[in-house]
Amino acid sequence: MIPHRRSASSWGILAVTLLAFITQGCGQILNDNLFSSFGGNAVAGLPRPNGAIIILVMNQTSSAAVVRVQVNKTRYVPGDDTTGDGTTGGGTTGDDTTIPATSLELSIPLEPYGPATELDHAMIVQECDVTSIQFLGGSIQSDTGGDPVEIPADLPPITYGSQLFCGDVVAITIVGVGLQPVISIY
Amino acid sequence: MKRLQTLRFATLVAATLAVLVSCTGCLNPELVNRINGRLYPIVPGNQPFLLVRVINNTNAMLDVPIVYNDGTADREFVITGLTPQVHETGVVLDWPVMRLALCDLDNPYNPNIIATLPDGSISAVPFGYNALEAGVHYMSGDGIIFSLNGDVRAPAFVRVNIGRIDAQTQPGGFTRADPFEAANLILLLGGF
Repeated sequence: MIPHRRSASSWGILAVTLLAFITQGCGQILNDNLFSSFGGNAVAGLPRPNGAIIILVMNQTSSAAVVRVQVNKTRYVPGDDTTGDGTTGGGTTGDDTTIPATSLELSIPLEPYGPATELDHAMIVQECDVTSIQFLGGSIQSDTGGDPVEIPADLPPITYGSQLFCGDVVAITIVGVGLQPVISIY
Repeated sequence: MKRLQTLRFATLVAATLAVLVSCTGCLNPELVNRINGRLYPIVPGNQPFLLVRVINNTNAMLDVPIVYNDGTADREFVITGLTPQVHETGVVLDWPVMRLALCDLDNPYNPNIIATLPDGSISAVPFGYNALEAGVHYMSGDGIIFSLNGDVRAPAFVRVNIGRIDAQTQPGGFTRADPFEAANLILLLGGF
């Protein structure tokens, strides 16, 4: 009888531990209120984002600027909508594939710097499936009305896992002196 | 019999430890965050921003205008070349954002979303909803998700779904970096 009692108490301890863990630690799994929806279209099938990386671009010059940034990523490619039900991804159709890399080129227009100017900075947010971020240069409107002045782009890519991590902010500041971009990671 | 019980108990302990370890940071932290959301924030929360994410669940390349009103004027930010491979991107908008849509704020059926289908044809997609409004559909610190899905029943073969991540459902006390807080500090220090 003693082994049975010991076994029962062990099972009890395990059950309590698991229950405490589920309610405290992984309670967010069960949170049905995370995604609400508008207009009767549910987005309940979306997975939670895994975190974010922000690309913050700031123009500290007195001229309008355009900044180009390339974001390289690795992720799943949704398959075709073979079922015609409006869903293509999520692995439900079995036709999803993974590709090694893809990229998104961002062309970010910025207004001249000013305390009351809303668009002298911009923030782009990416999930943490980024592999690298490359500054591609840009241009600034000439004060004299001539051709735009190019911003040099001779900087190496910022690589995820060595310089860049989930939760980081990549801050790109365009300053007037020599039009050199200042790139910092916070 | 006793050996079987011991084995079963050891298996249970091992399984419990595995689950505990997976949710406390010994595995890929992004995966862990996707499960329990306690490492990195996914919406601005206490920071004076609104997160707007656009997800391409179609097989077309999309050009998506994000149009909003900040209380003084209508602003527009256009995401171009959002391919199915890239899948998602987003912007963080300074608060206040009084109204928000993927189209003309006063004309939800103006087809401003451009979808380039795999065969090269171009389809203009209407947003199809009235502009979202602050205090009604979202608050400061929330995240709005526009999910564009392929739908053969939709007139332009693309349907827009909208979701919201309520900042209040986000757990507090993150153990890793908070990019929204960092971005806010950088902007304040830079005089923006």
